[in-house]
Amino acid sequence: MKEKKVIISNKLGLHARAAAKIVTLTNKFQSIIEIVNNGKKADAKSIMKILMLAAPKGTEVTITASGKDEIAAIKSLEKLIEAKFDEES
Amino acid sequence: MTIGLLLITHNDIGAQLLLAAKSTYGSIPIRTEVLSIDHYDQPSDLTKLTKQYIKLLDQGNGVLILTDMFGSTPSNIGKEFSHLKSVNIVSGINLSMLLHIFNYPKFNLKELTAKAIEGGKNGVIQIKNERKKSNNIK
Repeated sequence: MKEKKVIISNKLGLHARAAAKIVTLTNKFQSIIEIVNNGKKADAKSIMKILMLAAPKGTEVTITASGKDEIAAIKSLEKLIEAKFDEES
Repeated sequence: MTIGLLLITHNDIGAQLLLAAKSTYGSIPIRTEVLSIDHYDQPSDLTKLTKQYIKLLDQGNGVLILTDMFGSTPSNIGKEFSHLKSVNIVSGINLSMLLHIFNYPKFNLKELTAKAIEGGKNGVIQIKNERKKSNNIK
């Protein structure tokens, strides 16, 4: 299993459109991918579970991936979050 | 191949929810049609239209009908097709329900029906937070 800490840095936090981008990305991977916020775990392939984290800007989350493509999955998700979901230029 | 989705709602509720879901995902992964019902619409016309939409949407995997309120005309119109094996109907549409459904476009009719109910119910939450003193309303 691979894991990485990332800070949600876009203005709107993990809102619906950001969560939709996450599930669109994570569903391309076979690994089990989760986002952990303050001990609360969410399946990163489910938009509802991500929204339930209610993570605003500034939240530090841990992303974890477990499976054949875990390294690529972690890297891609980290890149998306760090790019602020391409919402801000 | 995906199932077909039909939203039967009062006025533009379905269309607006679909619009919001589309702007969230960027696109809609399931073929979806909307039937907006106004108070002057004749039930017999609505039944005919629903029948046509089901025929259009069913590509062999069935059709899931979502309506807004149980017991209201949209739900009652949908109910007329509940005897069909290829049609499932769920009331209480909300944005959580739609977003949850579009999360699983490859699911079959039975699985997506369960997802619709799960997404719709899980989206209803009392929102609590630490109250800030400055926001207190006297």
